[in-house]
Amino acid sequence: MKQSLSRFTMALRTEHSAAPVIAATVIVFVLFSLMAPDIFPTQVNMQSIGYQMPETALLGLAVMLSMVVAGIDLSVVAIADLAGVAMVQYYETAGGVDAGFGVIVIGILIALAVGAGCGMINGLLIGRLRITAILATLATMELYGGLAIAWTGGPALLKVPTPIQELGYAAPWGIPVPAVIFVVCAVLVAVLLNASRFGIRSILVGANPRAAELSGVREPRVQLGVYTASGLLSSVAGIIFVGRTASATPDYGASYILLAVVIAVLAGVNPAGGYGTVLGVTLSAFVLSMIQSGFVALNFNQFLYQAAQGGILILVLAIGSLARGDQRWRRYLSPRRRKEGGESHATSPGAEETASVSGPGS
Amino acid sequence: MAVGIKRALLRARGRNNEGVVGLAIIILVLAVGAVDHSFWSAATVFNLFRNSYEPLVFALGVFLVLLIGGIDVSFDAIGIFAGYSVAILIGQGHLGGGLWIYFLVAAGIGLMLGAFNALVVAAFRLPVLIVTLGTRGIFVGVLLTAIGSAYVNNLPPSIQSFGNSYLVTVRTPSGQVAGLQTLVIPVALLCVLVAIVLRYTVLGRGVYAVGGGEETARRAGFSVGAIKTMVFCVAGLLAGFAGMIHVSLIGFADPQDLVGNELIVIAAVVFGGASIFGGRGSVGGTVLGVLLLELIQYALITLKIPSSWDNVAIGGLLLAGMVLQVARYGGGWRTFRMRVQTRLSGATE
Repeated sequence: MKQSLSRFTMALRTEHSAAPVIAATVIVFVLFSLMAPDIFPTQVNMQSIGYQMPETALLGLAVMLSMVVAGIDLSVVAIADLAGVAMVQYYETAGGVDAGFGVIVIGILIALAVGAGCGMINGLLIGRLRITAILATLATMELYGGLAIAWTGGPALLKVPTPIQELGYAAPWGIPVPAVIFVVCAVLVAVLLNASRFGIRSILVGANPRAAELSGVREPRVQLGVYTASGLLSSVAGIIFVGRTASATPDYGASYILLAVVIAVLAGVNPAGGYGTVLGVTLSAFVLSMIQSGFVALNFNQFLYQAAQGGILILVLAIGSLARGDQRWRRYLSPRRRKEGGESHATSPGAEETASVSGPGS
Repeated sequence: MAVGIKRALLRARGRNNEGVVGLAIIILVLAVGAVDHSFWSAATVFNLFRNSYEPLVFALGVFLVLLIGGIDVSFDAIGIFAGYSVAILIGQGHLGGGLWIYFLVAAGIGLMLGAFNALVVAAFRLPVLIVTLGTRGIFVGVLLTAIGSAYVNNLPPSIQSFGNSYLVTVRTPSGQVAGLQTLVIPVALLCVLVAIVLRYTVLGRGVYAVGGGEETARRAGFSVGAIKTMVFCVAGLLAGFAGMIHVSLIGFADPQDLVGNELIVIAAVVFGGASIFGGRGSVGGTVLGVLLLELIQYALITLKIPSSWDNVAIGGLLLAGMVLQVARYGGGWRTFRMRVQTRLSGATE
């Protein structure tokens, strides 16, 4: 017990780890289960989390990938919306609600292609033209989101084929389809990041671009790959948006972009690059969804959820930062003690000795 | 002679490409005016100003935080928190007096929330973006649960008439009245004040120094902690003030307003030449950046382009502007990138 505890604090002390978010997951789950034992830890509630969580978790994964290479992708939600709009625009011209299997597959491919294309544009802007990631994606966020709005003229597109709508509510063997899609994507990203040459290169580029360059990694290609992957993940989220809302809304989920950043950061992903964790992102999306549904179960004010979301972000990261031994705040709390410590050191025998030794010499 | 012209041109371009933004504004005004001559009028200027007051004051705060190398996303939350709280206080009869008092109280509330940001940043040494993402949620959540979530539209007449008090008015050919609002005076004063402090005081030079490099600033004798705290407090104060401008211009207070539009203000500031890594930028550039973005939106209305194209136009122009801005770093990109790395790792360690 003691050993495992010390191992846990060790994990906290290492510079980046998913340990704080794992702890948060356990604590939040136990807490809500104790407070609402009849409602919270039930199959129905877990299922509803299984429907809610995947879209934000996918966006979180996309943002995480960009953070691994020390960038940030603010255009993920816009890409998701544009991909969804492109898909449903195609369905509207090819069969509408009763579209056949072939049409549906082509539509999904169109959405993925739009996502990959938008991601590639980001990657080229950032990798080739050397525009800072946050600025480039801020501009493309406006551009892609704007294209989605301009394409539909504003209103949502409603002719969504039935099988796509089923994505939003079907649950074979009790497991919601969005959750299945998410798990598949998460495993793919984990393999890509941890077990492929591309992943190692991305981590190296994020951790130390100069060292990466000297080891022969071509940064523009890595950036292109990372943002394309990020765009692809966003378009998958876009397909889930369409399924869950049974429509393609051009400005759906505007609040999701900062939520996706919160998810990635809460997971312990370092915005300065070089570290990413799929497990952490999954858990942090899970924690936030649990808090949201827990507040519903407890009949709390829904607005409090936003405060809790912000509070838990700061809390978890602060604990991580304090556990790493970064305790500058102590100086603020007890400046006196530090001063006394300094004086006692000065009057210690050793100090006198060195003073007397150095005295004659100088 | 040629050298003299070149030097003059470089000077007009400005240290942070402010000249380029100014040029973009001029080109846009000429182009739109060529299509629709009524665009070249005092009414356009006045309307443009009217749209710019609130984002401009927000942008000043964002600019200050950007100067010390942090990205603040909590300003909209602070603004609506302050504006709405004042509306509630007035409604409950706790707050009497004139317009001045309302603005002062709103700025004071903003200052306190800004101080909270500073406290969290200082205590845990977390990056500003992450802290303000968190506090943004906290501010909005506390506002909606503890203070109120309903519209307030029975604001006192002094606020209602505030949006319609003009220094000068003109009548457009279509018969509408457009005017230069009294509000232009305090907003212009704020801009000038911030510019003077940044340029001519030790404190202001300290802000640039901290943004250029924290350790360097510390060794040069600047009190880094005090300067950062100050910047967050002033940014909060400005956000509170801007929130009150928002409430008084639209004539009601909606607590769910504003939040979610942060990125466009940040874009305006960055477009005005401020570096997101700190230490670079000017008040003039910020003003021009905000004016340009507002001008784009206004021009689209004049050109009768459906508003659904707004974002495409803004995004496209932002992108074009950035590609131009990249020329500024040119060959120095690698050193620039290395600096970013050390900055960010320094902030999270």
